[in-house]
Amino acid sequence: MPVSERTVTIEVNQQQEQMLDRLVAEGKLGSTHGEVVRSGFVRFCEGHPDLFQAGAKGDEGGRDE
Amino acid sequence: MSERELVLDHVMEPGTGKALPVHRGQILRIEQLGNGQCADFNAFNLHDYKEYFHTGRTRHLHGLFPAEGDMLWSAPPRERPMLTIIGDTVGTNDIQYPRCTGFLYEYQFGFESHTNCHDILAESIREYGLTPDDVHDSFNFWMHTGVDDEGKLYIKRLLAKPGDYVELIAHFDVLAVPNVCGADIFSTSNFELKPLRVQVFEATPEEQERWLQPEGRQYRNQRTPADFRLSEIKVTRELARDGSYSPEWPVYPIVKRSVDVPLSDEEYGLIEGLRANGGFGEPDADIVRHAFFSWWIEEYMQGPKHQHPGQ
Repeated sequence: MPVSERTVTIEVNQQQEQMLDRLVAEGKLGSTHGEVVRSGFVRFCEGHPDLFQAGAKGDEGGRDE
Repeated sequence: MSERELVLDHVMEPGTGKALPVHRGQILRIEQLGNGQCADFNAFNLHDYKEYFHTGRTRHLHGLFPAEGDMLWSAPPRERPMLTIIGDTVGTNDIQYPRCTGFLYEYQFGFESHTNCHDILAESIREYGLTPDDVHDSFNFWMHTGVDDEGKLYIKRLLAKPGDYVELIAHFDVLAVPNVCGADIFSTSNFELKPLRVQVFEATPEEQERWLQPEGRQYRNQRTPADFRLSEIKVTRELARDGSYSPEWPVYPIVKRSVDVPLSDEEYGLIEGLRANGGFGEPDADIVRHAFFSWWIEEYMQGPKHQHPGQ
């Protein structure tokens, strides 16, 4: 758990909450929905350093298929 | 390795097709007799014709050009593998283009009558009591297609030679309907119509062991008519409102709740990086949500991932 300096509030619906419940139940990412989202967010960023390189520009963004 | 038992052997002449039952564990083989002929293909559940092959789900799960090892799926809400391609000596197949139709040749070229896959498929399935309305989007064996830089489809010269073949094993009893594509004025079949040989074999025990999917549903959402609130097939063509209808949506209402995501200053800085990327939205919450769900897809989603990671 990081020293929390900032809080970002996102909205999720009941189906997304189910998914977060499952992740919490797995116990590997955190014990609350917020901690799980934080952990997934950070892991995504760590897994895609190319997205942060200067000049790396997105197009239309992710296609949520 | 055991030998296959031949069940059926038929040559489809140009301008014709053939509806043929292929039972679970049997293999349909379509073979080139000439120099490059496209075969359009429909398939129905032999015991419930409302379950039929679906290009969309197949394209989604196997990409634009399915080949050996890929499966032909039935339409939602059934969504079961109907057949698997277990042999493909060329590897160029198409599921983008719809079947050609009489309308197409009249609209594009002025033909009042011309060989076309829709009418050939319709005449083929009439042997089993089905109508032209029951023909569906086709799997196009050997049709050699591509997508250009502007996203437009194109047709290339067909590559198959005499002796080339595709083989498909049926996972449940199907009515398989191949036909000799009627397009002789496109490069679809190299501007010439040629016969195709179709055969049905009993798969060997080894082939069944290797390829057959389990019988029945593997997922609750592979639905059957027993799951439908209205399972009877309409017998009249007129549409009329059911005055007693009251909607029962599967998930409703959709309720949103807030989740507070604690971030360190360093982690918060990642948001700026993704904002600069431009593919994740503008508000902090949009960016965090997009990145989180992208991670979740990468880690937990089964099947091909269509997620584009931001750039």
